[in-house]
Amino acid sequence: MSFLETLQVGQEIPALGKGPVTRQMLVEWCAAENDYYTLHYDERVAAAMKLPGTPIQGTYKYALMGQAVQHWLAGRGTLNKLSARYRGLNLEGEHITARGRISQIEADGRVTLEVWIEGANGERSTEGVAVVTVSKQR
Amino acid sequence: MPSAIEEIHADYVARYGTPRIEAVEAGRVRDYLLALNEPADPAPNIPVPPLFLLTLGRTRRPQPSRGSAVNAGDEYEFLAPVYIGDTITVERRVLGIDEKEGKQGKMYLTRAEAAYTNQHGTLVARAKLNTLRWGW
Repeated sequence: MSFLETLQVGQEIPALGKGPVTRQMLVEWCAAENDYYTLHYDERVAAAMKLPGTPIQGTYKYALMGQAVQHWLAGRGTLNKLSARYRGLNLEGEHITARGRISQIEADGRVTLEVWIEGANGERSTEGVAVVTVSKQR
Repeated sequence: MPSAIEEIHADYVARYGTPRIEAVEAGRVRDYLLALNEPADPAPNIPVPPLFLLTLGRTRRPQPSRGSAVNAGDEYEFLAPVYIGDTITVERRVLGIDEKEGKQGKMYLTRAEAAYTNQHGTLVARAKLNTLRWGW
């Protein structure tokens, strides 16, 4: 059976959880993406924006969704497209989880998934769509 | 005096108006994976994580002129694999800046796009990048 044939609409991919996301991780992410916006590691900046803590970078959550899809594919397909809408904040110290669910399967191997980040309160803070092409080889 | 939209556009051009050439280095890919607490053992014959591209073409200067900013949304389309050793040229441009009413007064949504081209002239990815700014 090919990987494509094992898939079903509604099926969830393995969750990828990280946390607690520490300040060190937020600063490491600043270095990784070469963007040192102070909001993510200086609570005075966060307080001036009326936030209760320093927020985890949206791009960190976006990259985590990408890693969740990559782990699930495990070389059995390629990521063609990934979007993220940053709807809510997750703060330093929080545990966040990237999740995904198959929403559409096409015969040519194109598979669409809804993907999202779940915060400690269980709410979706970031939502997106992933499109992958999976292997039809048995 | 420039309007808020003119100022935001000028900021964007100052930060991203010039095409940036970036080498895909093993160390940067490793740092990307370590920052995500992911196993970090990038190999030259395996494509780098697709989202690694979002770390390219960014800059630390100049800082935005004033106000606050958050990412509103990102969308990448991956067209060809990227490997350690590749050289990627990143070109960004503003598509439009829209004024909106938000909880903190006027907010400005910058809609931009980016193109990522490798050393062979192959377009490896394109992106739509939306940012929200306020504080004028």
